[in-house]
Amino acid sequence: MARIDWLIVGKSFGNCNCDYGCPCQFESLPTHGACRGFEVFEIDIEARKATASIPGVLETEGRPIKSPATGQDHWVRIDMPGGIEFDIAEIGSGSATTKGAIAFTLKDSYGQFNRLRHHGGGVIH
Amino acid sequence: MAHTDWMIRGPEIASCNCSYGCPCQFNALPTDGTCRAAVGIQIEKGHYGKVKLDGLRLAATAAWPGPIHMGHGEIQPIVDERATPEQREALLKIMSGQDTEPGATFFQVFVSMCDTVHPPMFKKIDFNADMKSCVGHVSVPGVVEVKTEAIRNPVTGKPHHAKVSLRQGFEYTEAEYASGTIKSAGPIALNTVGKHAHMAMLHMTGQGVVR
Repeated sequence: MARIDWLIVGKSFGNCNCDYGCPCQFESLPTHGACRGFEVFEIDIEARKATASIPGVLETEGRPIKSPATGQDHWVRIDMPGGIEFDIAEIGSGSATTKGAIAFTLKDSYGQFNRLRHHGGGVIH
Repeated sequence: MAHTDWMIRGPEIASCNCSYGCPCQFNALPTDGTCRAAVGIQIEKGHYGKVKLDGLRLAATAAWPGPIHMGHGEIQPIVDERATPEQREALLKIMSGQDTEPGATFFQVFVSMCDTVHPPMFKKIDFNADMKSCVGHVSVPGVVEVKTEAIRNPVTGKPHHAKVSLRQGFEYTEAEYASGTIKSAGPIALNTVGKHAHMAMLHMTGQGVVR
């Protein structure tokens, strides 16, 4: 069957329950064995800042990772030339509370800031 | 005191006991709470003052009881046996963080987080790194063997290529992340299979990573 052609372009902030760096990005197992997370759109990738609110569903905030040794902002990026979600992502820290069918609380865990360019053939690299 | 000017440039292979992706690179804690690592460097071009370091190799094994920044580690420096006495002294100064601004290089940071620096070994070091495939090895016969290959997707079995960039890194600006296996019989015993590894083109001076 012919597929309907589609495209989405935007910015994405994702936050999950893994430690900074999220082992799943490197084909390891999730830090706590299970994966709980979400993605939202409308963020500042360069500043690694994001806030999103869906009343009754999701409240979240993203910020830069702070070095535990120096307290300074930590600048770290993952490039994935064959990625199925992003080709470049700035990594930060995220916190979130969700309600409803998938309810969880995240505090200063893996936060991912990336540009999104997807179509039915995958990520446009 | 004026620092002696130095520079090294060339490929590096590092591997540790963390899961793929090493959380420490993101300022999270090491996967199992401790850090145990091995590293090898091929200096393609380098100098320390007037002493040329081109073509020489370095290696090290290291271990910390917790995350590196909490200290109390030990490190075993290994220097290319082909190095002349002047080159050996130069390489050991760079590896021990001398002639370096505090926090500017991973050598300086790692040594300052160690209680014990074992007496240096002067050994034959084999080194080979292919950044594209992530296949590489560091071999110091009788002391340490590190092998790397591409991470594999656990579902499809295909190679998974991921690169990590650190704008202010004290080791590299960009590294290919890989899968590593370490066997070390030296004073710092290591035995890992399918854990974090990275390959990077190092380029650093006493002021830090050249960007």
